[in-house]
Amino acid sequence: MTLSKVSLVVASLLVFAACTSQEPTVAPESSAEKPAAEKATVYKIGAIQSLSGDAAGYGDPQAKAMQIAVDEVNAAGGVDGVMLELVAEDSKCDPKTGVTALQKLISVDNVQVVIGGTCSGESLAMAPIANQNKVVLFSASATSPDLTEQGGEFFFRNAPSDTKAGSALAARATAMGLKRMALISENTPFAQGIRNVFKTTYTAGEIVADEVYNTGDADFRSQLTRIKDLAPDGLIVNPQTGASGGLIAKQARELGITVQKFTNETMGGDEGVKSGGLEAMNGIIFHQEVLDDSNVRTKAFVDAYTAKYGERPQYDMYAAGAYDAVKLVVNGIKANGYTGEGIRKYLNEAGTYEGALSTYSFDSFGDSTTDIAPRMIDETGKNVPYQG
Amino acid sequence: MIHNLPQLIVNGLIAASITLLISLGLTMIFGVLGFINFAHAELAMVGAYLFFLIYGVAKIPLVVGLLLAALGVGLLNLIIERFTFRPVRKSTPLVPLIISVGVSFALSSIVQLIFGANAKTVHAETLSRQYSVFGAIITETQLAIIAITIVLVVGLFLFLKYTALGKAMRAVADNAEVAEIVGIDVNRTIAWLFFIGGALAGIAGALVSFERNMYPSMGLPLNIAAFAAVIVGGVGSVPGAVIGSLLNNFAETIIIGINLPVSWCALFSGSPPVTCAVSAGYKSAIAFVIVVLMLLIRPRGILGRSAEEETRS
Repeated sequence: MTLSKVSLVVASLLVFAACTSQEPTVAPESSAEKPAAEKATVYKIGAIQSLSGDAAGYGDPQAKAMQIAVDEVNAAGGVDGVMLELVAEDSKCDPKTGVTALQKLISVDNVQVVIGGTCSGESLAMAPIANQNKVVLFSASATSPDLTEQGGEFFFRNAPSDTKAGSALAARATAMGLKRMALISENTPFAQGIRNVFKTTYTAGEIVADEVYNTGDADFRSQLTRIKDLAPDGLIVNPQTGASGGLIAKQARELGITVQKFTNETMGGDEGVKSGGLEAMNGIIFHQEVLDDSNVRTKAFVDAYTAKYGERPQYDMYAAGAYDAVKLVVNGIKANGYTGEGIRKYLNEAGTYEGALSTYSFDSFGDSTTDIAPRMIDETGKNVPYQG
Repeated sequence: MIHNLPQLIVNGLIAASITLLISLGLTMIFGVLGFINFAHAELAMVGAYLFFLIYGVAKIPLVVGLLLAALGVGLLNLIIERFTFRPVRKSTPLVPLIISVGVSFALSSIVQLIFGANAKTVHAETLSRQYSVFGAIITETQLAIIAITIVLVVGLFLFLKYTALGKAMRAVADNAEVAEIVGIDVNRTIAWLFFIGGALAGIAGALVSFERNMYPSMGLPLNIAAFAAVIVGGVGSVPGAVIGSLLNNFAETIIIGINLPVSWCALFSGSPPVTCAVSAGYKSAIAFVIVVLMLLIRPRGILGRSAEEETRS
């Protein structure tokens, strides 16, 4: 190998290393200061959603809903004459990818507000960077209880913290008289959040199994065989995505586990039923925010989405939340100008907001008052209210 | 503690079947060409999607669907061999290995481009009846997976041992140059090798799609499992792949699936917990512990040939 070849290889390795380096570098301070440039021609709204990978089922409808909101604002003349522009990035439900996307949006696009991330894991990773740069990070679907504290003052969300979903599961199991609960959770911040809340709030009996599996696992038979052996009277399937949760429900059913099953909101879409099958999914109970279609704002959003994309959004509550997020941010820009600080101030002081998701306000931690309701999958695979 | 053992053995057999079908092609290609083909399990992924199209979307009968998936992936592997691995066959094994990494990325990206990143499923409504064997529950689908695997493995043994082409493959594996001198068409033999390895992986993928969800990225975990099985069994050895797949998968399912006496966990945590078991989070670590132990104790694997045997033959 000649010297020039060696140096070429070394150089390319260095370039590669530079490209893949994940150091959470802080964007230059200047970018945070200059934003509300005197003569803005366009207000950029950053968008970081899980657009590919297992969680694309949540992120894709969110991105579409945000585009609808942006189009509506622009059609009505923009924000005091300035048009909105959505700058979308894909986080793949992966913290590292999310951080890279956020750094790009802050340092290259100079955004003052980012709507995202879709998953709790990426949101937890991005929140410190958003806070350092005084950029508002607004998630419509990250529900981990950890975000309440760790989100910092620039993190907001209109999805409810899983403190609600986890303790609702515990209350449900208690009310049904279940004494031996088995729990199988994915190793992601979202699922672990629910797991931890359930473990601390369920006191009516024993948690006989508390299994954790890694994202990407496809064979759950060993754990389920062991769980069956422990004769639980309730099973909580707690995945990050409906696809893996459905698989667990299916394999549990095949192994003859017939006890009452519970899950989280990720199983409310089509994916859970598709991968689990009707038989395994029928009667599974979970909690989520529910859109009220009799509400005019909700109906207008759902109709606009259906008209544009030909179907009701999957995980409609996340999509409606993302739509609301854009509208709230626009209100913030109108009130205090296009700065992260101004938008943060507006959201903190906004009071009650009547949106497409529901009517809610933000507490001092940036958590919303959005509530959840019990749901179940019926024998036809539909997500219906649970009457219990 | 072990009364659920029959179920765990059945679970292990199902997992081993899938790993085995992929590791066969992996080990055969190593045996003949001397490199680990990282694109091999991606062929199973392509097989799964092909089967999804043929059986799930076009509703062509199951057996025809399996055969078409095998044929399609076999042909794909033939093309991959012709245009990527054959031109570099004379270079060091590192070159085809790196190429195989590239091919694996290309395959999963192409599939993602066509089908999207979301999970896909095939539902085999015709194969859902359940049987109970010694207290273990097994579905018809799972029986079919195990039966098809046994038939294919036995068929492969007979093929390698008794047919002219099979003998030619073993000859090329032993010494390609000498094989060529005695009149074996090495290019043709290796092309067949890739076709057969690809077809086996294609069937594995189709069978996986009954059991699990399909993702464009599903190849990597399958490849890692097959790779571990091949190392444990002995790189290049077909019976070794069988033993490695069974050993790794039985170890995984049984270690994860058994409830240990609560007093054992009390040794670590002080107070006795409600139940005691090895967390499923360590599942993929189990196969790698076996791999590391094997590399320390017997680096050639259970049935692999040592370097001396290699030079002597």
